[in-house]
Amino acid sequence: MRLFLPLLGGAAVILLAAGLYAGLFASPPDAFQGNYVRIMYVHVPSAWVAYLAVFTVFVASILYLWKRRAVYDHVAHSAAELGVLFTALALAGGMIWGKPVWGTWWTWDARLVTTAILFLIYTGYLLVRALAEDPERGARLAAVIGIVGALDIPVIHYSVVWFRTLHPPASIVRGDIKMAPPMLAALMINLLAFTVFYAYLLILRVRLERLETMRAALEAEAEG
Amino acid sequence: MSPPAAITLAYGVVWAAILLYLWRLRRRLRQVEADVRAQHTQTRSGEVFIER
Repeated sequence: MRLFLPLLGGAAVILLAAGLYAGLFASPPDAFQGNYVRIMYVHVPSAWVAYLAVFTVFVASILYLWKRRAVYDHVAHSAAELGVLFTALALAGGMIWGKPVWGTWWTWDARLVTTAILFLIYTGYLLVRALAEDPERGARLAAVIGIVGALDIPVIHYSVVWFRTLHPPASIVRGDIKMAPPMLAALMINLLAFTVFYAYLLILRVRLERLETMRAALEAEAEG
Repeated sequence: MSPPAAITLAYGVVWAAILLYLWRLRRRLRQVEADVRAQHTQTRSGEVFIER
């Protein structure tokens, strides 16, 4: 662990730098969107990491309710915080892309609305934890919210199929790739970079959570 | 909004938020590690908690 975390951080920095280069310089402009397509190289990875974070909350919350081990709660809480951050970034990136391409910052489109609902659910998750008088009860209630909230992910993902929507459909569906190879490469590098960076942030955040719990225990020990 | 302005805004927002989060996370970690060390000198039981 002593070496793993700096190595993971270093790998994230290298991949993120490569992703910036690929997204800003190496990728060609899109035939329809022109250079606005470059926003996709931060918007799509942000949304992907939000999905990953919510999946982490989902699995860790089930394990916490089942095993009642604090480590699962620490992972769920940490991932929920990252989920809120990256969902907000996905929304922000999408809005900045939408203004010049769609002519509006926001529209009541199924993909946008379901993503905003995800943001609100996990903001609620964090609020429940912050406001709970009994931390254990707060953790249990948050775990239920974390599990139920994750059901929004398939709705978000398939919203472009199920509803009439402005949002572009997926460019990669079961091996059918509707992207030029240089664009696909730029997207894949950024997806990998954001995934590695998410792993790094999650480990740091779980460590913080663990230490804060230990600090509270030590303070109680010192007082009592 | 021109493409350079939109791209600068999008990358600026994403990267500013990520770097701010990382900076706050590291600052909180340093603070809590210092607190646990200080508690350890009082209780002599905190050493295991700050092992990386």
